Amino acid sequence: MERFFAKVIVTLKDEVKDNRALVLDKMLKNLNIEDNPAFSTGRFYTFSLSAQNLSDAHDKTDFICREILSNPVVEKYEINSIEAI
Amino acid sequence: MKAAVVVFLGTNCETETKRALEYCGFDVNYVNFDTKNLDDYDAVFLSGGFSYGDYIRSGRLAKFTPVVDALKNYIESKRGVTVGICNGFQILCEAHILKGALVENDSSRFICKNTSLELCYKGKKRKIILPIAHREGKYVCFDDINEFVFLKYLDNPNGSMHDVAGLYDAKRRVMGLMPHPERAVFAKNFGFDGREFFEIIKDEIKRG
Repeated sequence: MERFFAKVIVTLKDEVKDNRALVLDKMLKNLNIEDNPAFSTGRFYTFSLSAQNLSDAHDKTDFICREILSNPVVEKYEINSIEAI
Repeated sequence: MKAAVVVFLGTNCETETKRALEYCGFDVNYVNFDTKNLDDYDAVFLSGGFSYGDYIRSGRLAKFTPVVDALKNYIESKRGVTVGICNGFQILCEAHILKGALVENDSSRFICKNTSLELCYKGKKRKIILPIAHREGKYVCFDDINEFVFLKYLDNPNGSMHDVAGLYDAKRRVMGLMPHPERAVFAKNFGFDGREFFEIIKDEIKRG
């Protein structure tokens, strides 16, 4: 078994209103920094895991994201990176 | 009628839920999150508060407890009625026992106030007032759930889709709601509309 380090991001699905992102959009516009920054907010997780190989680590990370870290009704997730450590 | 009030780590409305149920004629026991069988009970209540710090999302971690597996068997066997109040509703949604999910209120604030609701039961509609106290109470669902909704906000304080405040599952044996009926039962509360909700639960149990 090898050890891997995963970084994942969970955000709201596009069809779910992201209140914090809307506030940030408005703030940047009011400050004349950016007209349409189209913010998206979410949660960032890092964790390490044991797996046979990179593909196995990917499957395990995918399972953790789907079953534990996100709710598929309103959220989507993205596996940012998985690296052997 | 025997009712169970489930206690998770962080649940904080179990006492008033138990007292309100006892006032309405239930024989109530607390059951712990590690309980593996609920078949002794005519109704199971997941009360409000928090569960496991509501880390990740409200109700998310509670869905991995043995009592939620027991609850799934309980619902499958059609033994009795399951009710989730506030955090209990969030747990039922996170465990996919009820459709949809509860996300942060549109205001991003914790809302604690009395709210006007429309209670639809057996084809009759009635205005009631119950307290709400939540930060993640905005109901979101992209399926057609209209026929399962029994409680709607009249002023929609949190931005819930279709004004949903409470709904049934497809078999009408599971009910989830964000308002707190247990906080509107006694004279020291501001009103008594919660009693009506618990009478409905009795009706639902008798219906079988």
